[in-house]
Amino acid sequence: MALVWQHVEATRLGYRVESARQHILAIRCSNGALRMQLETILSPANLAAQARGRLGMTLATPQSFRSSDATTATTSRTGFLYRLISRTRRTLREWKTLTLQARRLPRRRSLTG
Amino acid sequence: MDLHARLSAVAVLCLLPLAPLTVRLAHLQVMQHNRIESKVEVEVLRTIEESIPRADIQDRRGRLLAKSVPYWSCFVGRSRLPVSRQALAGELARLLSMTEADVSRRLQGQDRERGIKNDLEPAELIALSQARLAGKRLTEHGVGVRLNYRRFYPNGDLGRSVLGLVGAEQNGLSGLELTFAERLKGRPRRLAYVRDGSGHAIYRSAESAAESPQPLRLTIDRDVQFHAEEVLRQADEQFHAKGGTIVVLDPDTSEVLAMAADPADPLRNVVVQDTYEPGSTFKMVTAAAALNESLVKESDTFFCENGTYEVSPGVFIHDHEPAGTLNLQGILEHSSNIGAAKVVERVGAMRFYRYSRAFGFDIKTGVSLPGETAGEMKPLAGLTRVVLAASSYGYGIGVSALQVANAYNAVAGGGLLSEPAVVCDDGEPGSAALEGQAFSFPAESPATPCRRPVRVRRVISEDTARTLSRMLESVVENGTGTSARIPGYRVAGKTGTARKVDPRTRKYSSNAYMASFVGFLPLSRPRWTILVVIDEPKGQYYGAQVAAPVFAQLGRRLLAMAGVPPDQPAALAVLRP
Repeated sequence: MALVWQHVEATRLGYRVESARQHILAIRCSNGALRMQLETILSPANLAAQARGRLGMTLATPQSFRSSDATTATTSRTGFLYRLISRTRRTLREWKTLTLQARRLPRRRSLTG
Repeated sequence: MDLHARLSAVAVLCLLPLAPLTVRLAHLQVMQHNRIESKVEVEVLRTIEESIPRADIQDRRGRLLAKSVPYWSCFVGRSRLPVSRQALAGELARLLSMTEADVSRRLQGQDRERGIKNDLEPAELIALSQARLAGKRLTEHGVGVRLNYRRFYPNGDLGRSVLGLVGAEQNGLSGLELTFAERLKGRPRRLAYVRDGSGHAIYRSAESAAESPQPLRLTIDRDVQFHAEEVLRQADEQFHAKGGTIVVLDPDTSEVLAMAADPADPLRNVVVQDTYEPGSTFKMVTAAAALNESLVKESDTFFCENGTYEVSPGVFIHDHEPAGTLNLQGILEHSSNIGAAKVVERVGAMRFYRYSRAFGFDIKTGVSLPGETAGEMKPLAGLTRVVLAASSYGYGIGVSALQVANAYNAVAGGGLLSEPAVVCDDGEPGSAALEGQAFSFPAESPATPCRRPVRVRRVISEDTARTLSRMLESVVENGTGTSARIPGYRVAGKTGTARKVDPRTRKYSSNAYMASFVGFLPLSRPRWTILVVIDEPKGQYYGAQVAAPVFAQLGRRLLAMAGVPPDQPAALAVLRP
């Protein structure tokens, strides 16, 4: 009886293996197709075409980048008026931050008190 | 007779008929076991090879360059049941979303297997496995499905000369697909199974384990390759050139970052398989030999004969631009053939030959690509005064584009010649790690070496390499290579223009040229050695006019891509408004 059961069970499992194998292969096919679609979309030629055609982007040159030192150097050369405006803006920003902090202080106290 | 005896008699009478069965069973199971088992194996048990996909090819950052994609195809073989062809065609047409006429047409013919449809959808596959015709499964009517693989290159023709081609049987035909054919193929798994009465497979055991091949990781950088191919294509269109090549190497390791050819031919890689006369780019070898042997000092001058020099009675050398007295730097800056010929006279044939070979000319580089040429050089005995003079400025010798790039790479790398490579070391992290995982965007980190560099030899001393680099920088700053300048960056390089030999007349053509430029950047710490060769440009044909701007264009893109800060910020500040 045990041998018969073993044989039947082996056959049943064999069917399941075959079915699972077919299933795996079918999924692998779909996965492969999707992976290819993704890789094709991400290929440099496609990305470049999309970036240039749809987004109107252009190639960056090394001169497109500025280091922080270079920015400072540029600012220093732009004259008195520009420096005055920048300083006024900075002062206004600082004043605004301080005002906001000052408003929050009593509320915090009431919460803790 | 007592009860015990009677029971024994009854038992014997009951079991007696089973005795022959037991004997027969024992005979079959014990005595005939091996014979019956082998008979069953032959008649019922089948083995199949479960095909496995060819390994992926990835770039240095694990991005896919080639992949085998599985697909199912449906065929009809010999039917085991009598069923009308029309009924079968109707059923298949319904299941496979085809017209009945189309299926009927495909069913005609005497072939053992007739293909019905490729690229089955998963739903079609399931429908085929579940469908019944005349109460029987379709397999019994001879309908079968087969798993096939198709090689797919997601980036189109990007790097196809390097990658190569595979045939219908998934065997490598050219390029890396051929060189690493066995490595990419792997070993399929053998499965044992039996078929039941309905034709279903019942799997018994795996006879051998599959060896899924690991992805092959290349030193090629997909982005660098793309930019190289794009600028090359644009240049070829602009100058109506016959073709062109670009090689980008890493000066530290000699890894090939890009190997572009236009037109791209998957069956032929012109970068390693073709030779050309390098022209003035070869003057670097002459200068290196003279400097390294201390035969010429930087201050030594040579009279360049105002443009015409009789190197041997009746044999004249000309300069494209007449020059008077020049030092070695001036000779390189003005690309004076006469100057180079006079320098090589001081170097001598023996040393020149030795240095040429030391830089890797006339020897295969060892790159793992099929059909590599060693180039062509006159043997030492053949280096007469005239041949030596011509060789000093790159005529009368044949070199591959990779050899030239690698020679300049040795200068950029401080005088050490390394073996160029297109494949990363096996087993490095990143090669196996990506296999079988969900897709993820590879980290856009700066390119790190993916293999241990193979140093071939020291060709020139570090001091000589430094001096030579400075001279080559001067070529770009003050000489023929000014169109290779990149504001803010120090660039070293050399232009080259060589007449091509007309195959019909076997003489130098008056209207076919090879324009080239080879150099490295940024000079303070070279990141790339770039060689640009444009084959037969129309209109302008000098390396300085045709190839040097392409070099600068590619250089600018690479610098921007890698975010390399300027090593000559002063020049940038002058340009800034």
